[in-house]
Amino acid sequence: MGKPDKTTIFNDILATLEKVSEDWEYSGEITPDTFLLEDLGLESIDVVVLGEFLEEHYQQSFPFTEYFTELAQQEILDLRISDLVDFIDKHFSPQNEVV
Amino acid sequence: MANQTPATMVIGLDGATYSILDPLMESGHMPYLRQFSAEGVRAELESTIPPITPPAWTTIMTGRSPANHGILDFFRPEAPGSQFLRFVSTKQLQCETIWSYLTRRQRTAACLNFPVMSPPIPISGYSIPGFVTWRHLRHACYPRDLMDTLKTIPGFDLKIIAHDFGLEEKVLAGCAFEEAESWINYHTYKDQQWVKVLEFLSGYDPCHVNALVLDSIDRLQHVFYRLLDPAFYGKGLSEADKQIQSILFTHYRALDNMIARLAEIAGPEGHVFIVSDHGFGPSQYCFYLNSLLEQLGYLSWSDRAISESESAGDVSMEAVKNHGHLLDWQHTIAYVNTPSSNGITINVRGKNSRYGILPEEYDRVRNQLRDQLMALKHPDTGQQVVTGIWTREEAFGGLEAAPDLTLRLWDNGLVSTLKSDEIIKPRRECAGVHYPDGVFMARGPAIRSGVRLDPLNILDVAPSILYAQGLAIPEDYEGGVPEEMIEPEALAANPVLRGTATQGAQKQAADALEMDEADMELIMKRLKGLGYMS
Repeated sequence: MGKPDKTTIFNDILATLEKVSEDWEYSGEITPDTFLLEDLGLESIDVVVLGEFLEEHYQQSFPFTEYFTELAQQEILDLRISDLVDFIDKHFSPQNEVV
Repeated sequence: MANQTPATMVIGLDGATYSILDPLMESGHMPYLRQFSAEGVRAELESTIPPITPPAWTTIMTGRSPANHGILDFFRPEAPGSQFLRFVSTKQLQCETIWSYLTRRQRTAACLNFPVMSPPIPISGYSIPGFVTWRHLRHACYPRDLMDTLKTIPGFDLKIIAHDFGLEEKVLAGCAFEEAESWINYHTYKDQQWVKVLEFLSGYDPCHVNALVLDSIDRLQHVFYRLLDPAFYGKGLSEADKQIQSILFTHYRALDNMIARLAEIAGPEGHVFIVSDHGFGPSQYCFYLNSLLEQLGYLSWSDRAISESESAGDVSMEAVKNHGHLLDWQHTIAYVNTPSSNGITINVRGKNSRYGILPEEYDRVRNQLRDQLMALKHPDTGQQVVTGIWTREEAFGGLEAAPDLTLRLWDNGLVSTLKSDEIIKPRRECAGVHYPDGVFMARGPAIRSGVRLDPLNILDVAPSILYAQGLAIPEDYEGGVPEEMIEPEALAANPVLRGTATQGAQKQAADALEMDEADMELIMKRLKGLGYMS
């Protein structure tokens, strides 16, 4: 899989959210500025599982736990969809096979 | 059910121990279990090393030891050599599950609330995993539209059967008196909902093997062990403790009713097994192993590390997973990464770390550390603190992902990874911890009555289930059928047979993919036939 641009990544995240969110009771519009915890009501464990769905989609692993740990250390307790897009864009590498 | 073999029911009681169940049976709180025990066989069941939920239940559902099935802990490194952790999943499972094996032998199975069953592996039957939050439960189930089917159950509560990490953290952090009643009732209700799911499935599409893990007693015993074991509460209780104990006894009476209902589902011709993944016992101290490793010169804390008293003893799952940032990796040779593993990892330069010791120093350092740990004495009692140590080779067949040393403590407790000024400190109050000896009970037409067996091993459970289904035992299963539990005539008529080995995880996955489409089609037909799909 070639490296997708940020718009594609955003659309991939939207598609993944749509796939997994059937029981989530969230009906608002999801934009790059939507917060995963505050707006979508996710818990941190849910964000990791969402990350695993994205790993499955891209067939490669991303250091999600390391990323979330660093955010927690900076006392950043939530992240926007656009942060997730930037993270995937930064770490996308065909060499990183799924663990 | 195409094959007419009588049903087999496997009732998993996470953390069940005779030290609590026996007094409850004797005092009349669990009359059905008492009757079950008298009419069947019972034995102690030796768990895995370490005796914790993911490796132990995985052994029950694969017939293989952790060295072979590869599930060693709740967590796994995010990437090889990474100190960052994620929960284990079926992606790490190296062996075929009993559910897949049954599928290949034309049997159907419903496996409910087992850990390490997500992402789902397609089987002939139904799978709802444990340890999955409600937001992701739908996609962790098999078949994929199972949740829609379950939503037709009157009063079914999807959220309650899912794992609520926030609520379950009380297991680690403790439960305040004013929260105790609602927390205990939550677990009663959760177990009842799981039983309701199995009741529904057994009427909707009966399976040959039904297996359900009820996990309430593990959670409750962690927090309230001292109120459940007469050896502790016999010494007197406060009025507040008596109130909580009464609510706990009500829970166990409800659990007894659930066990009776599940056994009823198996029917008079069916076999029923009651098993736990590990036992339970009291622990009155915390052992801060990383702080000991610091004292011994193996570990260095980072500037971010604060002492346990300053962090208010934050032992949440998040704190465990984020533990890696507390260490100064450049100056750390050996460390404990998760409290649940009781395992020490040694950093070897060029192997699992950029820092650490040189590969040629490994044997010397590991032996030295082993000797130092075995020499440690309890400051209050003078007894040996570490009563058993296994190397990676001894406990896990040399598996790369396994800890270099795995410890058993004098009180069977789990270590703390936090920073502390004292290595061993009394807990605020006695907690329940995992002991190696769980429970095994069985009853059915082929099972002897009123017999106490010598202790069994957790590896013997999967062969026993297959035997009850009239199947040969795969030659690579590491345990066996305890023949002393079987009526002699039944054993003569149906001797224990060994068959071909199980398939590896890769083959299982490949078969699953092939089966997926065909099985989905079959399920859809069944649902349509029953009026659940338009």
